[in-house]
Amino acid sequence: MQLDKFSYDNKIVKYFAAATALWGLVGMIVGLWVAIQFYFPAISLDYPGTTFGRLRPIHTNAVIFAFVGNSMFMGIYYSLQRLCKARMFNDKLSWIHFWGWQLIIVLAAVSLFFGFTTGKEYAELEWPIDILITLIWVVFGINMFGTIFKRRESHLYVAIWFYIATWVTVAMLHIVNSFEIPFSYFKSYSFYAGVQDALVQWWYGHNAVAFFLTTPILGLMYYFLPKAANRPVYSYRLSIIHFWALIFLYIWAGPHHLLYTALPDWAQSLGTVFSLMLIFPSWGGMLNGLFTLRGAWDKVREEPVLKFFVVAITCYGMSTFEGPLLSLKSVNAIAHYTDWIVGHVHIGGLGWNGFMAFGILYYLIPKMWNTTLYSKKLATNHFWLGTIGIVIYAIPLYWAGFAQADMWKQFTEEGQLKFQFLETVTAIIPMYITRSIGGTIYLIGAFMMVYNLIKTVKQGSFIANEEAEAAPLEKTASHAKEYWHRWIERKPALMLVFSLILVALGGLIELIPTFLIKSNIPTITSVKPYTPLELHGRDIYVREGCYTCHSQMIRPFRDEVARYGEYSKAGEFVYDHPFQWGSKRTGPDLAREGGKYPDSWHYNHMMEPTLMSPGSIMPRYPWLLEDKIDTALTGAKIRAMQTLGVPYPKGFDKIANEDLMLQATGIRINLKIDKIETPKDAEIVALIAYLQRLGKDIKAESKTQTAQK
Amino acid sequence: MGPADIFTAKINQLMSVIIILLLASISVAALFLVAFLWSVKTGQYDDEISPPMRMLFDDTKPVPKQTKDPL
Repeated sequence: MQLDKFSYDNKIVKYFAAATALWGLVGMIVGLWVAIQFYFPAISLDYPGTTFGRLRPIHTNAVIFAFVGNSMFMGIYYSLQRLCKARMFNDKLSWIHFWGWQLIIVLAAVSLFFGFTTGKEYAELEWPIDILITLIWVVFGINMFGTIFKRRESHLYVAIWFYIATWVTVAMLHIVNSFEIPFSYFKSYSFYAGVQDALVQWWYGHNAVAFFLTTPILGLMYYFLPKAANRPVYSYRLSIIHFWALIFLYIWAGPHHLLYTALPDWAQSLGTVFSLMLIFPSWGGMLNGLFTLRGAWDKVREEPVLKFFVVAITCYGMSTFEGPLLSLKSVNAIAHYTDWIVGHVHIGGLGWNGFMAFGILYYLIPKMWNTTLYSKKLATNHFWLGTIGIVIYAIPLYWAGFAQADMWKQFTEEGQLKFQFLETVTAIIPMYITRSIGGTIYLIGAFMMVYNLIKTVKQGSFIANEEAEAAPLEKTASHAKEYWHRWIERKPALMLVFSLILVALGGLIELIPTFLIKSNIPTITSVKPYTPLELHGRDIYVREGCYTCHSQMIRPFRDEVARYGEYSKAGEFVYDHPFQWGSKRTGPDLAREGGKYPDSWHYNHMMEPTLMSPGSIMPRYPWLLEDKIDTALTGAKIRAMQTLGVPYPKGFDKIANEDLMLQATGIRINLKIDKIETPKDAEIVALIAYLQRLGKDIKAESKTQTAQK
Repeated sequence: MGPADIFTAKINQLMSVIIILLLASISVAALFLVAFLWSVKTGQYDDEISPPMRMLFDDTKPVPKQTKDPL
């Protein structure tokens, strides 16, 4: 039998590895910067691009898509070739994938810095970048499936199934959640609104966790752990079973981000049930990984790579136990909007994703440079620093989360709320400080790794193309029994299935306009569209990332109704493109902010938050007082909203600016009474108009109800 | 009809986006089901012993390790 001679492409892996290390450091440094802002807000430098609201999405995008993304590609390009016994399908595609992805990252960082954001978490990138992501993802898919089709090993090892599921599902999620109507070259409005947008967003958001942060990395675990330990997977059957169970269950867990919100009850319960069921396939993966090391624990003592994998898998187990528990309504009632959730996220992020990436880097860099790791001791020290860093990061946040929930819910004997919101913020400052120390320790470890790997590279010699030999696949399938059997095995069948799905999705795209626009008919008569001035203000709110600290969703709890007002109803949000319910209360909820304070209060508060709220950690927004509203865009914004079914009168886009100026003048007069002078089109006027509108519509409805009685 | 009933009726109308999510999710789930049936029928899971062993072997030619003088 003639063996095929071919070579594995290590150069592409090298580049993805370098990108992983670089963006890892960048993402973590930005993370530290935002963490410090919680107790030292002046470090926002009073500059728009470096406030928390803009830096936070840069951090999340950097660590998720740049760091984990590149680590995923690094691992897939290394392992897929070897598992398929075939070089990547097309070297050109490999390089388009690599440079395309890095271009996306750079565009993301720049655009987010300048405030071009959709206002939807982990989907902040605006429409031009969304299109680029789709293109590069398709390139990746062709390259990956092409490699699988030309494989010399007929059996698809379980890791490959994880990669396939990742590719298919991320494609679907990205496309569906990114439906948006552009109104300028860089900005758009979400196709969905309010409750619908919330559901789509968290269907996407949780599945981003599932199919970007979990499934590809589980695939990598199934390759790199056995390789590093030189032990076969504990139970191959278990890996197959938990794979299929995981991908079928994960998609339904999204509503657990929306418990006790205005999302309908049945949707919330569905999310809870599926989230609980997820414990089983997730722990199947964890146990399979840990049990693979049965009889090899002495190796764990010696090898830093295995140490990282063990802690990574353990953190995965912790996260996937904690997650389902947090999906229980009773637990969620305490945890939602608090720092507990941030702690939960980072156990997965630092523990599972970070440590898997580190372990894989420590494994494959020496291999590709045909040498040994420069310093095992340094790597072991990194391991201990990283582990301690994770602990010092997470524990203060659990403490802070419980403190927040407890203090928010306390009443005095007379039935008044015991604590002002600001008191709950001040109380957890020590936890914020400790958390950033944990993060710093983790970051130092990462720097040690980069040093170690650079020294390793310098002492080795790189194998750009690793020579390999393998027998080609026999054309006649060994299981050929029936004619229809062979027909299924040929590519055109798979192509057909893909085409059918694409056609179905295409059909969906045609259905969407009719569905959504019809269903966006006004449902609460007192809820009106935003005025042009308020719309500008809302877009400023989105641009500055206010939703990263302030929620707009009051839950039906006694303490929330007492603190914020009537709990939020689904119908209030029908014109909110995008929804801005938020996920975190670093600051108070704003759903019923309208009318609570005079216009001048908001002016002074945005100029210098501590003037109105002593001890506040909110950054300053002085540029809002000077910068002008971009009134050239008003018409385009109104027209875009009209396309989405918001009932502005026909032709309103042409007179919208007059309406804007009228309302702005009213606000300026209010400000002047309180001795504040503003230019007539300062952005602060628009923001004040928006804030004063929040939650007002439903009060109008209840007023009319009682009036009729 | 009190306010609560109106709100319930509105919510069911508002949630129609779930059709899109269901269609997308079920399409992908159907694709995965087809893939699963294909994998079972083509005998991908007939042998659960050799794949985990086989992946441990490298089919690359061993190149003697060098450690360059770092200076």
